[in-house]
Amino acid sequence: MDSLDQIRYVTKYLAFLQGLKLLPMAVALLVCSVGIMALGDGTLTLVKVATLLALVEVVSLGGYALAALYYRRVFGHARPTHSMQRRTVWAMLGTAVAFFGVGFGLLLLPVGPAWRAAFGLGALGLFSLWYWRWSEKRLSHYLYAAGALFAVGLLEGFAGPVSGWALTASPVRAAVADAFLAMALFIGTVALLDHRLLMRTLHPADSGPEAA
Amino acid sequence: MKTPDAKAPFEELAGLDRLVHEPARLAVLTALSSCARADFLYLLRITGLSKGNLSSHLAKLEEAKLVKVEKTFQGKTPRTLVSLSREGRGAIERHWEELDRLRAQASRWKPDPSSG
Repeated sequence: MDSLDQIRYVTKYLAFLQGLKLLPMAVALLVCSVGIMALGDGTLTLVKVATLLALVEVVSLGGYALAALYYRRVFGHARPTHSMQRRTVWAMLGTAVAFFGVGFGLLLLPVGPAWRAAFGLGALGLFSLWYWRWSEKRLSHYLYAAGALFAVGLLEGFAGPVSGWALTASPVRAAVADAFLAMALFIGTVALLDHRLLMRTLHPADSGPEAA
Repeated sequence: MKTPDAKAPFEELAGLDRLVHEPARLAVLTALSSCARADFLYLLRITGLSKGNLSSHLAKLEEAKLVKVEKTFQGKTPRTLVSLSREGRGAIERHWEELDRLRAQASRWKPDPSSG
């Protein structure tokens, strides 16, 4: 990308490149994954998983708001065009519907926990692929992340829950921990790489007084 | 006789609107063409200009009615919001079209052997 093209791209997708907004979600998912593995071998019910996801949501929203404030204060703000706002709303609605659909679909699948986790990771890989295409095929790390998710999904399906290799846990617990861990690593990695791209484009602050 | 097409594209570069083509102003206009509006801090960070430099370029663009500058307060902090005017959006779009045309022309251009 030449510098003007980079300016155009970063300004258009500014809100999406502010990767630190998603980092709290990655940390919360990571903590959940470790917690699931560490907290004994009790039954892991759907209610417990839903409660964990709700907690992740609360932490994510709080962290998102704080990171958004940080970006606005330190790097300023560019309000997206109306067409970009419309595109974003449709993309978010579509993603939410797809995630709920995939979630329910996974519950109904007549397969074991490892394959459920595998299909979940595959769906996340497809999302990563779609996002790469949606963002004008510039963010190649989403393409690599999709490949990694497909590979881990296949490994999970054919070789059983990866966490179960190292720790003695029920297959269900290990599969859920794997899914949380993979989501945490995926979100954390792409979030940091998005932030890195933004930092490479934006310049350090000028220390003089505002003259405009 | 030389037809307009036979003219070297480099000669046409001189005919570009200098108000828009100046690198710092082109960077500001490119950023503004990709959003509804941006604040002064964002333009500072995306262009890498100093505050004084950015102010002076914005003043020139505002004078030419290519951008609209709005000064507000957020609490006690002054905030400068900048957006492209209709003329500004048209000017930057025309400029990119012209540059694309010249780029395509330059890739096809062959030096005239008779000109030495």
